[in-house]
Amino acid sequence: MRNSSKELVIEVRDLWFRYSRESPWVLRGIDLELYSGEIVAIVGRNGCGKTTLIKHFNGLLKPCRGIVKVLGMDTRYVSTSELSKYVGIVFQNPIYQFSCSTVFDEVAFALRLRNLPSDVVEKLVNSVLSELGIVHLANRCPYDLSLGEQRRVSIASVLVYRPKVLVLDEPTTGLDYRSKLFLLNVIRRERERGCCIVLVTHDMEFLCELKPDRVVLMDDGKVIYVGDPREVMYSPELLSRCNLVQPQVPALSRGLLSARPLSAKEFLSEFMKMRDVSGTP
Amino acid sequence: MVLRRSSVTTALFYRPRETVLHKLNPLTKLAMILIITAVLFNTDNPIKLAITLTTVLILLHLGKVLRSSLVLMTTLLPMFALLFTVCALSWMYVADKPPTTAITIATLITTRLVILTLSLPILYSTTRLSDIARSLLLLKIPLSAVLPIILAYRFIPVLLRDLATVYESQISRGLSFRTKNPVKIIKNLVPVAIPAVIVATLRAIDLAEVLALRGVALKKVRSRPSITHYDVLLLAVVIAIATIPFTT
Repeated sequence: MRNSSKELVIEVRDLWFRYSRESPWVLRGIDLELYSGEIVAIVGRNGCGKTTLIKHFNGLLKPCRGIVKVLGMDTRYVSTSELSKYVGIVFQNPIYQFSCSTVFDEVAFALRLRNLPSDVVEKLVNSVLSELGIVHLANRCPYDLSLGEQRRVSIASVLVYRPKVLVLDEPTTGLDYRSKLFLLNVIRRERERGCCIVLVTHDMEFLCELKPDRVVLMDDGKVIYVGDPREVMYSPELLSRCNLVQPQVPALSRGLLSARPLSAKEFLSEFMKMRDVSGTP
Repeated sequence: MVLRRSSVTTALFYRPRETVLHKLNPLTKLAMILIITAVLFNTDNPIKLAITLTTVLILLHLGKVLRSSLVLMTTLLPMFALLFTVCALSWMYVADKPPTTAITIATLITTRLVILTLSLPILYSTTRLSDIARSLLLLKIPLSAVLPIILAYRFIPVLLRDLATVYESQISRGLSFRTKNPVKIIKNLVPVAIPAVIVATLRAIDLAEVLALRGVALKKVRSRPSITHYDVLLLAVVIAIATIPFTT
């Protein structure tokens, strides 16, 4: 067991998957364990199987070979609607899920499906809307909002039922800096609550700011690295294998600092330390 | 639904092969389908219908698209079953015919539609969309009419993909179709239908803008597919087979 104090929420064992018998394997023998209260980033080139992998976490796709277990439940024998109580997926494009005329109803959608009393629904929705800073949008139509606001609504609509695992598929696509910063805080807050956050992204700069607990690097349907994000960010060879570019801070720090900062803040702190030691004004 | 879409999408579109049928002029194939349609709606003899069906199957086999066409037909089976039921009930209760007559008429209508649907891949599975468009233009159909047809056809896989994404998004939030209550199923379809329609509309608007920006319909003269001896030969064979039902 990797961490005895944390609960194993998702267990993937030798997962193989292809969309049809004629098509090539999309996932080839994936092994992965995800624990509560950790942030895991899944990165890799386009078409390497990241989204296919996360669709196994709530039973949208069933393994061709191998096992995926969510809180001990084998996804082959449990329906997606049952698994959705524990695993919430926020898809890349928010408009694919908006089916209600107001933001409030959209966020309340999943709770109403679970037949919760209306006063409880109202309380939970208002609470999550305020957490995500979108109370003022409650009566607006989701389609009329900006992409950043739509993204917040889609995250709110999943967070409202407090899943144990929150999966975010390319959450930073099309977002401005401020919206990314907000997203960063939401992710950290959810981690503090013990939620396991799985992030699928190409945005390496965002990952450097977020500093996930683990990075899962995928290539051609296989996991080629699982571990410390610093190892990945400071390995241009590993990154280039996955069509990724080394983020700015690690690229700048390489050869300049002995430490391995990820964020600009860390870089500045390490740089000041180095300057103090060397006595350079 | 999600897993089946790939085979349906494949069956609905052009499959590149090196066959006689692929080499034919699209207008020849269109003519074949029209002849088959004419035969279908001018006979109610089961043997003659069987001959037409066999001709269609042979043509599909010649184009190496028989298997994919049958896959598509399997997917459409519920629709044909529904058509048969509605027809039979209508003839029985609306037209007040005896059950045996109603069932015979329903069987005839459904069989005609099955054979007609099965004949369509002769054109669309063996012809590039651009060639179909050019042929339609040759028939003096205006580009303003051809373009929407072609675009709508090209949109099918895109819309299926969008529909699958919407479906996945909603069942990920707990929506379930595992119920036998038809009212509940229809109610649960609403959260899938609304985003799907909106997404399709937004895509259509984007597409219209892009087409306008790329100067669609700037030129009136376009290249045209040629007519070969294969076209003449195969069309003659189909006409010959088509006349069989009327000679006996």
